Amino acid sequence: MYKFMSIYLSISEAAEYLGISKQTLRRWDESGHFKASYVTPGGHRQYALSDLARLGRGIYRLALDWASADEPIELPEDFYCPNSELFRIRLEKMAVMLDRNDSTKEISSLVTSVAGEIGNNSFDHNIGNWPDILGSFFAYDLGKRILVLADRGRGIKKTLQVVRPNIVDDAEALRVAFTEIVTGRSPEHRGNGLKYARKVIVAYGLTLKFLSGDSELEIAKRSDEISIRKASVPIRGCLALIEF
Amino acid sequence: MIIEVKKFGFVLTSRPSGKNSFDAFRPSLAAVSIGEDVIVDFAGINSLSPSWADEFLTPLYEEFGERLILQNTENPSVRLTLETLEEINHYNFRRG
Repeated sequence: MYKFMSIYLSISEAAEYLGISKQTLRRWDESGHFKASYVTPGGHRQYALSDLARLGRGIYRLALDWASADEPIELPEDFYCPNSELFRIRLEKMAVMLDRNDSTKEISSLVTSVAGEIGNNSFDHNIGNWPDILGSFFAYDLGKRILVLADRGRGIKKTLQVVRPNIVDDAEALRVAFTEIVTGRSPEHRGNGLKYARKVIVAYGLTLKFLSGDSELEIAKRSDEISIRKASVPIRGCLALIEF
Repeated sequence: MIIEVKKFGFVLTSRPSGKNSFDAFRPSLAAVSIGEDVIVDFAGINSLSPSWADEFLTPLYEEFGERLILQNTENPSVRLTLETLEEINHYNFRRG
């Protein structure tokens, strides 16, 4: 898989990143729909990774690259929360923005609470045990109504094995996390937040894709069914894409 | 006694924050008289999730049982969070 190691990409790299043609990017630049981050003295368009990620689909791609890379790639500061306090601040900012927008205020509390459960899990379940870089990826595009959360933590399987040592693989771990009550308050306090997330997704017509290890789970709009399959790219930790 | 949840924050989703909130508020519970109801009011918050609520509401339920009353629970995240906690912990909150 191609890894984008630089903060700035050429127009060819940017087109590959977004899965579109160079001609489209040029057209967008000329029309003002999506401008290049800067143009070199030689006239070459350069695109910042953070600007590309703001294009929505790019947010997910960036999170996937980060979560699947052998070594953590550098993230735009805007999308990286090194600690739970910064995550809390950015989550509250998103809540305020969702509340202000007529088209999203009805689901603001639900989107925020699900993002909070998933995002806080990154910190609560990996504290003192981060395999490499600590912290989480958190980005959203309110225009496209998507948000993406990711971490390079231990993943669902290792986290659940603390209380369910018989879990054998990532697919089973995802199924248990989203469908079974993992009690309880002993030996350690444990969230059942992913079952809450499923409840919200189903009741309010959201969609969720959740990756951990080599597996991915999907809950489609207005469907109580979950589907679990091998992920196209195995990742470290967890990655969630919510469409609302 | 009325506990206004909005005084603990606008977005209430993290387990450590729920625990800190309960621990910080706990001394105030000494003012609850014998037989007095404890009302938890959810008006004015953006969102609640099971992790925060489990740390804050479960110890209140364990201490006050039927004297714990939850009010202004119409916010959809509050409603679904309470349902989730009831299902997981096998108890039923009184709603005012």
